[in-house]
Amino acid sequence: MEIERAETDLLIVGSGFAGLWAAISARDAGVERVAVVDKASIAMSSQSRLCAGATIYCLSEDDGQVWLRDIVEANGFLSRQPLVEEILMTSGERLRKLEEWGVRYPKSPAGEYMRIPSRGFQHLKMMVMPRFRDRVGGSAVVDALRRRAIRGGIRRHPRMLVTDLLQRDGRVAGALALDRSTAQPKLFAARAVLLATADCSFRGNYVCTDGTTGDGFRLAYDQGVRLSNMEFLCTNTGSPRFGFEGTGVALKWGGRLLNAQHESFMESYHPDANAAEIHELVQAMAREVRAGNGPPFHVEMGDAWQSRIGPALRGIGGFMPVNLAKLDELGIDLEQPQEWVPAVQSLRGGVRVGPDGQSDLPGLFAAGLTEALDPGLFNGWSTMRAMGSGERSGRGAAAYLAASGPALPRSDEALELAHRATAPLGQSGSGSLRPDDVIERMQRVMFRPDVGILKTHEGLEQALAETLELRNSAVPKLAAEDAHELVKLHEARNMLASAEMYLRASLTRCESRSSHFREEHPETDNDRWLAWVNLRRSVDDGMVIETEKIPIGDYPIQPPPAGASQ
Amino acid sequence: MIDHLDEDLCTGCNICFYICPCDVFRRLPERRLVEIAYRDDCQTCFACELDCPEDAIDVGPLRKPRVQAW
Repeated sequence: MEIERAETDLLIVGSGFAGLWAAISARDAGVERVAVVDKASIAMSSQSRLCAGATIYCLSEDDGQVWLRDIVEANGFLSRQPLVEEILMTSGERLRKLEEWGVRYPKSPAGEYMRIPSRGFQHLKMMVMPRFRDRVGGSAVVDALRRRAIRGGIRRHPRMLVTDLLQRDGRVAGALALDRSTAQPKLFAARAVLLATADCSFRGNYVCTDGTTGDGFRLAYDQGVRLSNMEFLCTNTGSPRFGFEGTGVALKWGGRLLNAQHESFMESYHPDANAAEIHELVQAMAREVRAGNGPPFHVEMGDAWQSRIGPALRGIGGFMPVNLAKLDELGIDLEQPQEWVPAVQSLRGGVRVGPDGQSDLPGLFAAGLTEALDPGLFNGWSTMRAMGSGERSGRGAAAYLAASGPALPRSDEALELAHRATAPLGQSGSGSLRPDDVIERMQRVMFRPDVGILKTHEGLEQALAETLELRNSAVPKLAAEDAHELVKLHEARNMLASAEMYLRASLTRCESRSSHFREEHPETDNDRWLAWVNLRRSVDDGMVIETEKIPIGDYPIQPPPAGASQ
Repeated sequence: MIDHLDEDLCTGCNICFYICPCDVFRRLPERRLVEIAYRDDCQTCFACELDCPEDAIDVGPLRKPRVQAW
């Protein structure tokens, strides 16, 4: 087998907000060769490009410490506070740079930025509807970043799936990737690697998340580095028939979530139904199912659709405006009750990194949703998290590279990895399985309410047993007809690895916090569980799980003392 | 889900092929066209339709049913 070879100083895997900012800041910090690889196009296929682009910026008139408290409280005090603080305090500077590169956020006639609250936060505000050329939303920011990154000098490697990393002498040495059209392998000798591959959606029911399949999680895990917060799975809601982004807005402005008895039930679970977090809505739905009050559930918006909700969601940029126009064309009337279901969205854990974005393996960096920072999911903060951590990790990689030696990945190791990665190609015959089947079986495990919403010990153990069965019995039988299916096969492996991490971490945290709810441990326990659940691969291929107490005494924001009311 | 790619309007610029996050398209260089090769993998994000310079692509908003919680 011939393996094409390329050399670079920094290899960035993924090209959304985090990957693009990392590319820009690494070049600005003097890294000579920055290569960006993506399993789809460079930047144009990212989730960042499809989002509405709401972003939190902390400006000079804002009280940074109050905003930091908002973020830390909303995240159940599990935030890596120094890293969050750094991202927050440098966000204004990133706004200035984006404007220099042509992005415009709306301003009032008096020249003030127009900002709105973000659900889940008390004080901080976000900007919406960024513009660049003829784009509005996440695509405006991505297009501007892409342009700036290319002009800064990067090598682009689109349509290549990284299937393995390589290390040598205790540091990262490179990556093996497959061409998405031909399945041809390519070895990247890289002195540093930065993973910015977003998170894992398990291809749930939410919108535009099929590309986030936990690729970076599995790549990092295989290298023996620690991952944290893998127990936090954010489940949103939506229609089973079509995509919908903005359930929170809909319920805030006149929409009602109804059970099978056509009753609005949220009030019995939450004192202020409008302020309920999305995962609380989903947990309430699951409880209603248990009580025999559903499914089906419906969202009923009535007049509020035409008067308030529709105009707001049409104007926001990203996916929704065109989606709503299409639904109009089909005659789907959102004034009428629409069936509503849970929609698994995002696993919020990731690679544990230091303040420079480096993982436990020298030369391996992470950023964006691939990095563990905090467990929640909040509009405006996710985007700023991605941008800020990307910029910081790119700089961290540059500092590492200034002092590190050449990349010398072993070619025999690369050859072995390439054989393994392509072996399932063309193997279909009796006894072989297809990636779509394994993915569906994985989803039937992961989307169960007692696994993803109201977790039970029994449900998690059962799910773990089935996941291990899939990994040990089904995966070895996987076959791929062509390069397209081979990529799906590796994505299925990545989702299964993410599922196992999620299940073991969920079994470990014996309390409830943020989106993690344990039936047997329904209370938040700050005495024992103000800690991170870290996991890593051990030498005998098992999983080592450790809890690390948060050094909360050293942090600026503390939870209220036990006994005080929250 | 993606409904239709109009071969008469397609110029073979390949933007949809590059941009699709789900690798739905394949190029037909000898015919200066693109075809929908993996329709079932479409995630209904509309990226292809929005970026097609010739307005040759039509994506419908209804999606294939997925595994549900209950």
